[in-house]
Amino acid sequence: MLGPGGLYFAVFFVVPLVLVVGYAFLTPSRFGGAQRPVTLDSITRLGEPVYRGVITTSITLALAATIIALVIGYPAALAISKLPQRWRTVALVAIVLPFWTNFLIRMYAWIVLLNNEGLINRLLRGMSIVDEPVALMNNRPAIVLGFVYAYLPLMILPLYAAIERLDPQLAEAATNLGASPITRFRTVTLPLTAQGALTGALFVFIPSLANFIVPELLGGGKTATLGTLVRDQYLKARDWPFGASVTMVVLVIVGGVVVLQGRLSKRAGAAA
Amino acid sequence: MTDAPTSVELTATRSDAHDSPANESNPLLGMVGVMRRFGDVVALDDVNIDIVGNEFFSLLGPSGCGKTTLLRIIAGLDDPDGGSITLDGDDLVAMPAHRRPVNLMFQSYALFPHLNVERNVAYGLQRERRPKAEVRTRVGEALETVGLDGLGKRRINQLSGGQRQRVALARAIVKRPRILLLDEPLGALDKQIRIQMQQELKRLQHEVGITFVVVTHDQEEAMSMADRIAVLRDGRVEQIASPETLFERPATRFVAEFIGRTNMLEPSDGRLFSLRPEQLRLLSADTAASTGARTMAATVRDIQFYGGVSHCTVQTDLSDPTASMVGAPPSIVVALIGSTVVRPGDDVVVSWKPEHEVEIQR
Amino acid sequence: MSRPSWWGRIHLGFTYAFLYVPILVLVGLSFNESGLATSWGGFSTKWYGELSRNDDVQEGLRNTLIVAVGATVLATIIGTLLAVGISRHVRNPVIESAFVAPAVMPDIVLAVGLLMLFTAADFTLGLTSVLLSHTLFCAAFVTAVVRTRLQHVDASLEEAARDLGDSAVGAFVRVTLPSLAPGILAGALLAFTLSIDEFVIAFFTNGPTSPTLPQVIYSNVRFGVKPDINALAAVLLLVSMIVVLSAQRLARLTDSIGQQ
Repeated sequence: MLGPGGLYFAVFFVVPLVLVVGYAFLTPSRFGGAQRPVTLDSITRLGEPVYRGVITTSITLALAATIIALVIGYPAALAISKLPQRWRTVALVAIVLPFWTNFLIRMYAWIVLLNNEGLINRLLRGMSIVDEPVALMNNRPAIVLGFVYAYLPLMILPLYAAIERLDPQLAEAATNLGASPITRFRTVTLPLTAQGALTGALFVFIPSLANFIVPELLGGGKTATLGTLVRDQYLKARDWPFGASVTMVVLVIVGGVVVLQGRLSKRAGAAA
Repeated sequence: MTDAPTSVELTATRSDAHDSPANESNPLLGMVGVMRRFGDVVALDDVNIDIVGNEFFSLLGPSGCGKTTLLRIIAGLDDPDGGSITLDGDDLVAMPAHRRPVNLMFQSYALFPHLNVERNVAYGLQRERRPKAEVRTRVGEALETVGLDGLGKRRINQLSGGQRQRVALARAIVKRPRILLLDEPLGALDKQIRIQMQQELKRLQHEVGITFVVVTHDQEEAMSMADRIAVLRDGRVEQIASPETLFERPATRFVAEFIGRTNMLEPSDGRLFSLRPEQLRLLSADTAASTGARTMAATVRDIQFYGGVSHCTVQTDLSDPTASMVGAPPSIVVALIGSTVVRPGDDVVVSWKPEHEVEIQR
Repeated sequence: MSRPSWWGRIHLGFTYAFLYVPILVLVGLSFNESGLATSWGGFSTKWYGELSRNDDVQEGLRNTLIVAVGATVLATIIGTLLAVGISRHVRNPVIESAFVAPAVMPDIVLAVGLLMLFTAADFTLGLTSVLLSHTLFCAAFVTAVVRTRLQHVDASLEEAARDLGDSAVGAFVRVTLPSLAPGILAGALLAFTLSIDEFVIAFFTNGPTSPTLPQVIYSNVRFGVKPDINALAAVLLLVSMIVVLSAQRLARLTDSIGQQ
């Protein structure tokens, strides 16, 4: 039963991961690929200020997107949970639907809206609010916007699931014991849905961290992130060992975040 | 008030020394004409109940009778469609739910899973913004009262069912509400513990002096704990009285049949009588009773042994003149103490005193 | 206490607007005669015609479908077997998470790893390498979906079948597989949708001669947009809608059947 699948995973998942780790310690060959001697050069390069900056930038952008997604997503999930039963499925499907549209198309849509000749600028000029086009993209806020737009549904779904799982009698008990609606939210609803929020945060942070499409299309290619760095090393600079070591950084950060989320989840860990 | 005599007025005219002195002119909680409808379904229909201070009161009835709906309305978790509810004379319905001096103990306990025992109990006091020292003291006292001192730091999922119930209780009484509402408090417990808890709750009520209003479908439970019981059916109040009165002088057929078991006698003049199995005796066929008791021939059909008591179902001999005179049903249940020597198929004589036939207004 | 909050509903409305306005703008543009965002030239469906004549798009579509169908079939088989195997034989949580990792991990990690694998093995990059890569990626999702479904399947049914004389394989095929069917179907649908939309892994593991549809879209968006891309966007949106809604219907249908 496990045989064929296990074999497939071993070849096409484990081996590539091993290669990623392995190549990071080798020397780049002339036309891509790698060769001996074994060296730590590719790893130590990461310590250079330029690359430290790339790491910081990537984490900052992903974190910003996560927080914004949380701020937008929590009230949305809450509102859906208060809808009459028969509307809820529709509401959820409506949230998920854009997510199933092609990623590139969705980013392209924002280019149409945001670029200097795009819809928003035209609207602003048409209404005489501005004379010159406003630079709405090719900057960092546009990248964060792209991340939020791409992954917001992934934040809303687990949040909604956590809110749905709440025993409604707990809210009633809180009210009966004297909690006003705001206090009730702060002392009961929020702590008990924290796990859902953490799951959602993970689903936004991880893909945003290593994404290179959004920084390129909406950021104008001006901001270097971990994703663009990896892509450049493999497809332009052909420095595979360095590309591998950057990929390892991505893996380490993701691993760290997952562990962190697990710990925080356990602490928030309330109802079984 | 209204034209047709309501069950409450009937009870009032029947009241005697057995009822606890209900101070109806100055009730703690007064409900008049309370109505609640859910779509086409009428959950509460013209409910009038007065509850006084320091009383153990029970709302009793089968599922769907409206008792839980009424409880939630008193707690503020639902609003009535009509009628008025006053607490100490003030309009209760106008008060927002989180400001009512009424606390509810949920059937499922609704303990906060993310807080330990102490913090659960302290929650209500913290909403009153009490000083920390006071909160600590009162929480400690409450836990002691319910027998949980020392368990303050435990997490909820580490507690047994009985312990959780006590936490829920402590959480409600620590706020010293004017009224404590309990929704099927003993439903989730094992039988032995349930009997224990019944005594506990009675003791507790006397100790803290707060009025308890217990909702239950279990008439034995209500009878053993409450000072007065309101029997509800399909949203209407059938009778409000002490347990003894409900048993010995039920006002309606429903009450007679819901509280304990009974035999209904329907003589040809259209009246209705209730005769409790406990008031009947079995004599062997050749012992005649001549003490003014009524007797009737019957055949033993079935015996149910409950340990302390047996319920013996007998098939009435409808040719017996007494049977037709009192309008006896084809089968009658007789309660006997302990086990019995009669066997199915035996011919017996059923005997009872006429004064134990209780007339019921339909 | 869920009394509807007006602020909540307004916020929800804005959220939906945020999600849908960009896509709807594209749909609107696809009917724009001038094809530009800068001016409205009147209603026209000519871009849809242009789209059908666009060779690059047609080729991309063909390549994508080849990969998607192949990857779906393989991933479904592998994923189902794995799901059953894991739930029966694997107790170690580390190994369990290893099988779902490809679904949670950033796709670029998988992409470069697979690229290095193919290169090291001297395997020419092309649609085959993409297919093999997508199979792995999708299998992780199928495994997860089927495992969830497995929780609803009574293990004693298969034991009863064997007690009645069936072989191990026979009992699995005749008893367990049918109850798993809704989950397997859901997994397959998921795999297909994921593969069709997948860009990053394809980008790294594909050869230069046979781009997939997402790759075609990427070049278009990066290097110069012909207006028929708006029509493509609208078509893809419609297809997604149909897929998601039918998956929804299917889920509800098979759920009620599966609840024996």
